[in-house]
Amino acid sequence: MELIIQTLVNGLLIGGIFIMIAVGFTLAFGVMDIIDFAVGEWVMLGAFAAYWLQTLVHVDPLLFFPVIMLTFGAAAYVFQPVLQSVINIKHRSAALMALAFTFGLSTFFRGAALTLWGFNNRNIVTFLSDQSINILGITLPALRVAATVFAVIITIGFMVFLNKTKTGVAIRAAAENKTIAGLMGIDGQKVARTVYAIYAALTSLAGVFIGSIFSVNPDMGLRYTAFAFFVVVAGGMGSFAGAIAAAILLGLIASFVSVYVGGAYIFLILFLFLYFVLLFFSKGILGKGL
Amino acid sequence: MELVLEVENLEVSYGGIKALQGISFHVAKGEIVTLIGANGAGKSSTLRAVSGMIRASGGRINFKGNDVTGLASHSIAGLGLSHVPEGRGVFTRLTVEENLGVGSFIRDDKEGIKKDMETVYELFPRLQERKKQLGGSLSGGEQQMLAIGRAIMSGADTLLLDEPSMGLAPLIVQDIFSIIKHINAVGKTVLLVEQNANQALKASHRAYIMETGRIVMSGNADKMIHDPEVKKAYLGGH
Ligand SMILES: Nc1ncnc2c1ncn2[C@@H]1O[C@H](COP(=O)(O)OP(=O)(O)OP(=O)(O)O)[C@@H](O)[C@H]1O
Ligand SMILES: [Mg+2]
Repeated sequence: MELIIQTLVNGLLIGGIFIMIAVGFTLAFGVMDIIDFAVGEWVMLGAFAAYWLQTLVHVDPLLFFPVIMLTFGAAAYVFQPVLQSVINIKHRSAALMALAFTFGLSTFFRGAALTLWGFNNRNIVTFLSDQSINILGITLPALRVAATVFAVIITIGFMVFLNKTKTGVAIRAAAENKTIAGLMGIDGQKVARTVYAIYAALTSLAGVFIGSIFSVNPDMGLRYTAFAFFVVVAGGMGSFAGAIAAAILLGLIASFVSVYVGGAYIFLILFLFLYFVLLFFSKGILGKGL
Repeated sequence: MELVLEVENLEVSYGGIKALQGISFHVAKGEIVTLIGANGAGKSSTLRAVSGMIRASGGRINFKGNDVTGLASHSIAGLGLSHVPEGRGVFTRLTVEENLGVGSFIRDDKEGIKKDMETVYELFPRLQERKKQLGGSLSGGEQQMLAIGRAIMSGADTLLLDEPSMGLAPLIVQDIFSIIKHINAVGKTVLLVEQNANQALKASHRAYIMETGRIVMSGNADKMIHDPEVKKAYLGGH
């Protein structure tokens, strides 16, 4: 019984981190109409940024998360027009080309990281590592709790921004229809750039947490790309509520499968599950997608 | 006479096929001007090119003294032009209130926005009743009202309306035309596209008739409404 509860708690906590990736990814998908296959590499690079901050600058990377977020946001803001120009190419299969482009990008990032840093595992130590809270026999690792609390705060902040501010509503409008948004005076390109920057910042932060909780290596990204793909599709493409629900579900599935079935089966079970979701709920688990 | 919009030899092509073959027309400040023509004549393409939704492949468009040919739609909107496109373009995942809010995106004058919001709710009480409802859940007619309301919210002095009466019940069509006249009376310039040529001509100052990408006739609306050719082709005979 205790194992079940512990597994459940672990799943919820890890799901919290996935939420951070899911909201940014969903918004980027909504605005740019592409699935960014490089999403996992942003996680990997975020984790490495934290590692190098610790190793070279000797600071606690968790305390310097705003620096990491800003750096990634700025880099993405500069880079986005390149990606956008691929998406905008006047070609019959422009969407496929953009997809292939992000795939190439992820291969490039992974290859570059492998070449530069080798494939050995590295660990990030933060002031929360090795700390834990015990409640009724359930162990709550402090880092995971912090990550989840953070994810929840950021997600709520993000939702308030999207729903209550003028810029946020404009972003949602552009996500639905850039042409019409343009007629309202909203610059769709600028929105796409801003959103991509926010997405990269959130994803790199998730990388900091993931790297601190597990470990850091150049190959870690691929797994999170698959997870992000699961979350948008299971959540119903473009639906925030759906993506958040799917992220939590993902955390639970991953946690239960690794405890009761074996870590090697996570993807098999995950995508089998996705298959049935698509079969029976084509609009996502909450029925709110496209 | 102060010209708001001046279009010269405008050409538009879709994948090599010319939808507009070099049309010229103008709209003066305070006018309601209507474009009339059969399906596929190029009326919507004209409005789309003017608002920057699509790029002109030839010719020039001047709006309030600015050459806007080739400018992005958001920049043209910023100059005070609001285009209510064919098919309304309501944001289905935004509430009615949010749709109206997005309409006023380019404005900073809180007071003016509030006042225009009241005006819209006065003109369309149904929108007020449904302000928390998602745009996608409105009926076709209500969406049309929302699209027009959003144009009012933009504070633009020039409106391009593409078939605002489409899909509306006859009684509401009357309302829409009187609202257009009202908007015009309080100072807005209107370029209108209508299937409902009779009503449109009654509401307008001048009109242009389009046929397969060309303007074939132009003149004062009250003269055109009595022109035998126009009557036969566009006003249903008699
Ligand atoms: N996106 C498009 N791609 C290809 N051809 C198009 C496109 N939009 C319009 N056309 C063509 O351009 C021509 C003019 O179309 P347009 O929509 O401007 O006509 P319209 O006068 O508004 O017609 P309607 O009264 O039916 O709305 C038509 O022949 C149409 O088929
Ligand atoms: Mg049309």
